[in-house]
Amino acid sequence: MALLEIKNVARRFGQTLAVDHVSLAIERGEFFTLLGPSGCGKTTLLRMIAGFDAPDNAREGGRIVLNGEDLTDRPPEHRPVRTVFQSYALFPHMTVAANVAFPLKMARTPSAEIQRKVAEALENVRLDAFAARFPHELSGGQRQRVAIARALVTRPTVMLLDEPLAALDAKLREQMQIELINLQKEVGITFIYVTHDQTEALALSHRIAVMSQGRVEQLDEPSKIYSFPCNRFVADFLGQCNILDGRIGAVDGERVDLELDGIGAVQAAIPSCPAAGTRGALALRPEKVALDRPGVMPRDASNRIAGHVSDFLYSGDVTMYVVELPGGRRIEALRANSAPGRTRFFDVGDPVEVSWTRDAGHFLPE
Amino acid sequence: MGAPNRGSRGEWLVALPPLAYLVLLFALPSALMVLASFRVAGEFGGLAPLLGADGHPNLTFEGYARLFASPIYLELFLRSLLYAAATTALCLVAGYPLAMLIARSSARWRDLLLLLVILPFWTNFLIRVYAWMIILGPSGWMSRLVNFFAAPLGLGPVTLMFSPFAVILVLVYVHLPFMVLPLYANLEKHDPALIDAAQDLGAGAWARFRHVTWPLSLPGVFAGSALVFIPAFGIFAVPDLVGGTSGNMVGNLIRQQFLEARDWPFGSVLSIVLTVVALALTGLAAVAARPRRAGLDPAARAVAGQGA
Repeated sequence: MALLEIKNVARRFGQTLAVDHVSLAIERGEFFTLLGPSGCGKTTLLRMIAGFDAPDNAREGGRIVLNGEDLTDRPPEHRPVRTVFQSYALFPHMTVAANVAFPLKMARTPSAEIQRKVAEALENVRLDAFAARFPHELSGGQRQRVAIARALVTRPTVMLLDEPLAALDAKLREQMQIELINLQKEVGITFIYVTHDQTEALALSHRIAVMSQGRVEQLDEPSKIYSFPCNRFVADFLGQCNILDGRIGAVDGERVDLELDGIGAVQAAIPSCPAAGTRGALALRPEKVALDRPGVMPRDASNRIAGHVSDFLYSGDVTMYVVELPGGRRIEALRANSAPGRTRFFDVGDPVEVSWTRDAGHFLPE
Repeated sequence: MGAPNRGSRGEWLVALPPLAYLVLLFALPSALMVLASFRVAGEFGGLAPLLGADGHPNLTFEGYARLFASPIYLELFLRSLLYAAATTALCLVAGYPLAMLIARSSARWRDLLLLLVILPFWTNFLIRVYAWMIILGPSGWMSRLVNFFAAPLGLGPVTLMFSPFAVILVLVYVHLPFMVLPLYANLEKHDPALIDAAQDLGAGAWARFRHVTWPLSLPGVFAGSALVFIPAFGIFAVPDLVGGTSGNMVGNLIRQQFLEARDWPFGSVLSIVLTVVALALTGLAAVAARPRRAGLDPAARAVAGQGA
């Protein structure tokens, strides 16, 4: 049985359904991420798990069950769930040690035990030297770690993290991501993580629920979601993606001819392909599109189209080239800047050929 | 080296108007009062000339000696202190929930409630006290209500007017906005996420108030208490109108000395002592309310100590 069951939960604010009858089952020890753009309902869902908000349909079966116990009608202070808030919400009038001791004190833990557990929790997040500091004397990353230590110190069954890294700069964020992964592995507590940052979600999670307009669009492992998005929204929201409209042509088992609008016939491999004539789109990740000078024959390229570079975005390790095809359609292709002695391969206006293999893309039926 | 100098000169320039204000309206009058408290009363009121007929300055400690010689004055000071302290405490008890309610209301309600708090200021202070005299008077609704319940218990007709009760009630009424406004200004700034965090960490309603809201509101509590206590300590109009003989306060005595006994030096002595006592008490409270390091409990402090 799943550790946390969210059963058909709905929450409406005015005219909009912030959470539209969502059901989820989260396993023990999982690093589970709710991913979606702002306003998709992920934070509302998190607040309902914490107890700060309640499902509108609690009487009609919208329930939240943890470890077999129904939490729906319990106030936050009586749920074995802790939240790391986006703003950290550290008590400004208490030291780091007093902040971390707070939940233990609320649980009437004996004083000697408080002392031991606080020391241990601060050691966990490598802040033992900062116990006597006040929150305003810490950096953003340190405050973040205090918030995590404070949430972890009572060993909750589930820890909720609401965009905890959003306020940190990029370098620190990456470092904190690694720390979070290690910490979660170490303590074995179930993490439910809310973010709008797809790279963060892909890097951290065991499973991701991609949300949009109050609904879960897709729920799977990061690599599955990235490689096999179930619809346009997911394909577009997670990373860069060429979405090429078209319809199914001739079908021969898995080998399919696709008629792409403005591009023409391409070959694709589509398991359990819909019938010929079905409209849809080919989702093609830029890193799966090869880019070469015309005439260079890549191995195993089922599809080759000539065009020219119309734009590029240089980002150090890789360059994203936008290639304009004869019909005016554009395809994005990613190429690592790995050639020795050269910073990048092409310039605007260079004639190029894009190519991809039969199984590079993923068909999204309409 | 020029830049810092210019900077500090600029700072002085900016500080000049408030400084002039303080000197003219506080320091100078206070100095005059201190001087007056050592002078001798004139034959027909006012002050005797600073230099006596023999050329010696006409200065004396007599006023202070008189104050400390009689227990009447000490008693009056203590009673005033008690009334002012009770007023402050009652204003805090009544004002804190109100300030909290306003701070946590939606923007629309907040403006309306604030207006209601400030509204009494639009009516003259004396008229509001006269209104209370009618309410507390023998035929006022409050007296009749009290006596309606007191009579069956065999308690004789209770008079509310001209009693310590009336003084403290009206003092609380008059000073309540001065407690509510600074409290509201403080509470309104609290980050609601802190309350959420406390609740998330297992704190019930009382613990959230006790460990988060209350300690963070102490600057507001202190500001409001000072704004209530200091004027309530020296007030004379309210005890004059509703206190009768039993409700007299220091302010009444000072007024008497200046206007009726025409003993300016002794009036000045009383004023100076009143000011010094009020300042000393406020200063003590400020020291007591100063945020302490290593906040919570011995365990947390011990861990904090190890870390430091």
